[in-house]
Amino acid sequence: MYSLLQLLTRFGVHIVFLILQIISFYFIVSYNKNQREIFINSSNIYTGKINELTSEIRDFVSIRVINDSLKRENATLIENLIRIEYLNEILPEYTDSLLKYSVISASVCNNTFNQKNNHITLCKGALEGIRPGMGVVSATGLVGIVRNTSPNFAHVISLLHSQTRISCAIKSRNAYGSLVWDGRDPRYMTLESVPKFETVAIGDTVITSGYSTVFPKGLLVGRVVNTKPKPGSNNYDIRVKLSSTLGSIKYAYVIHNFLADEQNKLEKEVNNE
Amino acid sequence: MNKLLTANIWRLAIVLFLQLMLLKQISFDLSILSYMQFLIYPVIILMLPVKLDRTLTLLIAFAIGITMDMFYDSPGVHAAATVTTAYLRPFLLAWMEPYEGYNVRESPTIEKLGFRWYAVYLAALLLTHLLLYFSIEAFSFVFIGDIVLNAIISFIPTYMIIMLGMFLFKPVN
Repeated sequence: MYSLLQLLTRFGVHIVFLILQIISFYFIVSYNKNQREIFINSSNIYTGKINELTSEIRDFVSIRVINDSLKRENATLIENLIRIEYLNEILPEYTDSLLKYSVISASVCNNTFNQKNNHITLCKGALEGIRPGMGVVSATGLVGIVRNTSPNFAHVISLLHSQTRISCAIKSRNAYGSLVWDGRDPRYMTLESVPKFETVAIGDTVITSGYSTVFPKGLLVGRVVNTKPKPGSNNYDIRVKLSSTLGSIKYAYVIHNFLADEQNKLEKEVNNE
Repeated sequence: MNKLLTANIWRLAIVLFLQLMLLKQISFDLSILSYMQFLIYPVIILMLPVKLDRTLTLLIAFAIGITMDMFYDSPGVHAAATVTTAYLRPFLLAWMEPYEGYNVRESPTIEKLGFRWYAVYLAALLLTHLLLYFSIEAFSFVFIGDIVLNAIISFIPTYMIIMLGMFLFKPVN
């Protein structure tokens, strides 16, 4: 008891100071809106930072699952984009049956882009529904056309191939042509057979025309960087900078056109006549 | 002793009256002068007897602070600043102890301890109090520039007013 009193007389002042300060700060934080908000928000900053760190660690551990779900989500979104592109052409009664596209997401197993003829191998094959002749796109642009499938893999001819011919159009103009690769710079391709009387400006967007069954219309291909008349003909040679970065793609989406077989059969019959 | 008590109570009444009735109303809206606030009530704490019981000074400071808060609509801000100033006052007094010690129970300027001593004493405690007050009012280090600006700009006129009061009233105890 005596030592307690001794303690109190020695530290009495400090104890009283602490008590009074606590009372004052209680007043400050309870009754003053600004200070209360700062008080509560500061404690939130610290808890917020800790939460951020733990969620980053958890995300890192489950990154494969997250990637798979993102791939599926991307495939659905690309499907929706294609559907919207065609939406204002389709009569309301036929919305369900005409022009259905579905998108299959796949990872890239193998990729070449600096040879004369380039190929890409996808990690999904015939078992997932991929057939030869389907178009392949990525998040940034076109990738190529499926040539061969095995049960688990698909062999895709890249855009950067001497035999690639993609039917393209120039957005908001009436110009159509074929996109080919000259074998040199992997960033640029040439749009041929665009008649000279069409007006084409540098910076115009090049999109797929939808005239072939491989790619739906409206997919971004690239931008015009140069127009040069082809000597000895009535056409332009338009140099297009590709929007897709074929050197660094990890995920690709295969476009399945449900009506492709029907259209191809009909066109072949007309050609054979 | 009685004279001391009455003198202090008179000082309390006059300073509080001045502060709350007159100086509280003064505020500027011009650019840098808007930071100026007159807070002269720390002088009550300054002029308390040197050897007054420290617990009692803390309680008096708390009471003055709460009174100011009631008038300024800022519960706890003035109280916290004043209590801390009163807590730090003995340390400052011990540091500034003149050669022969404090032989009286008060600390006025002219008669007892000299003008130079009082100028430093007033400046130190007033600046401390203003910095504390504006820091607690802002409650966050984001506003450190505003806090220092407020403290310095309010310090100069407040200091001059208190010095003026000292010369006018010439308190003996």
